[in-house]
Amino acid sequence: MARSGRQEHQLPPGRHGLSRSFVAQNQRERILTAVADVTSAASYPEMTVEDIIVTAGVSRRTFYEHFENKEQAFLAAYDEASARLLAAVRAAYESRQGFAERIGAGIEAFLFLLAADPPFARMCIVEVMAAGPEAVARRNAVMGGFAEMIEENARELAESPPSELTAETVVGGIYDVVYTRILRGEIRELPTLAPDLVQTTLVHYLGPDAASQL
Amino acid sequence: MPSTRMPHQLPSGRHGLPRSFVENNQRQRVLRAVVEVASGTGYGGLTVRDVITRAGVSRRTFYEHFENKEQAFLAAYEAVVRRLAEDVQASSARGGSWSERVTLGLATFLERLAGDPAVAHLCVVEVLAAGPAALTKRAAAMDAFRRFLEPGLEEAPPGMPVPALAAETAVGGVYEVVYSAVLQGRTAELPTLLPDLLQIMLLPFVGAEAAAAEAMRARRPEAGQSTMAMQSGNTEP
Repeated sequence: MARSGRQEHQLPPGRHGLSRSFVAQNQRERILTAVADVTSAASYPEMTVEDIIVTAGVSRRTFYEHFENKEQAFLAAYDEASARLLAAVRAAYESRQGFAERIGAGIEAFLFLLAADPPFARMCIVEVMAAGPEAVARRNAVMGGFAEMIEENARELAESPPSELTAETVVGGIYDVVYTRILRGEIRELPTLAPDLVQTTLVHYLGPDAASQL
Repeated sequence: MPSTRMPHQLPSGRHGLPRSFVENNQRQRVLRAVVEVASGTGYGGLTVRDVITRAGVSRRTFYEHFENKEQAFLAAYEAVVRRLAEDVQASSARGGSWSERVTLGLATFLERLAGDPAVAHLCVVEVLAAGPAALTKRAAAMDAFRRFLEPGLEEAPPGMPVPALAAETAVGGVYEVVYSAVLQGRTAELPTLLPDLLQIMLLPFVGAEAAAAEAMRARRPEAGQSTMAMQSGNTEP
């Protein structure tokens, strides 16, 4: 592979005294970051292993030491990114007390995290839907994780909780609004949607008046 | 090319059928084949070879109609979505109130998809994997459904605040529920979700009580049957 200059995240070439596991870990992370960068620019179907290794600054051989093919690399990148997203939303949600406050904190964290890293947002929300059945299955599991958060939160409400489909519908509604904005290139503006998305979620659990007062 | 003629294929050789009729028939067969093949293999696995084998047309005929597989996919998507939207419009037009129109429209939407799982798979799942032009068409379709709900913003009882994103999130929410049912192979069961989905969709616009009342009406078996009866058959392309 012809590379003229070393990129800043690349390790120095030759003998550097770094342990083998450290080097392998660094390479793996660079590949995963490259997957997000490449898919957000070229879309999943157009992405090639060549694009990934050029962007990551690793050899083809190194790529195949870590991953069998581009799908496996994408799945690993998605797993890591979505786990980070889910954990951040859960942490924000658990940091607050009260149904409305928790939903608000969770939605805000979700939008801020996506807005802060557009390639990450595009991979997690848009490209995953185009990356084959396994990717879609993992995406659905993540959606299930978000729906579960809303449901466990709703159990604390005094009134009888709405039907099981409500959480799935609410999470799907938020997803689609975010998906549309990312396609339009309005990623940085995502956090401005927070008040409207919170209201449209709370209306199902707290009624129209309480939902509009937050 | 298949050795035996399939029922939808025209007789070979001289048959005295006008050229435009033949072309239209071929085009329809290609579009239907795209729906069936894409729902089986996924858009990524779709090949022109599979499509022409299924359609019973030659490779040359395929390329007379479409430049490549993407163009054929886009045409198939457009045709099924247009049909779906027309059916939803037609049945909803029979409703007196906005809530009734939404009920009839949603019932038709779910029945249509349930009646043709390959169409459901193409227009809900595969369109998301078929490239930027397909995503643009999907966005337009979603927007049409959003506009269909938008009059509901005027339906709220005086003083009841309606969330600004109510129509858009309702469409996205229904999409998500349909998407996961299709992926789980439960497409045929979609009509059973009507009452619950309806209640969730209507609530932000009309309040919990009115939404529950409309869902209750939709639970009556005859409500579902009347829309079913109106739309027997006809699931082409």
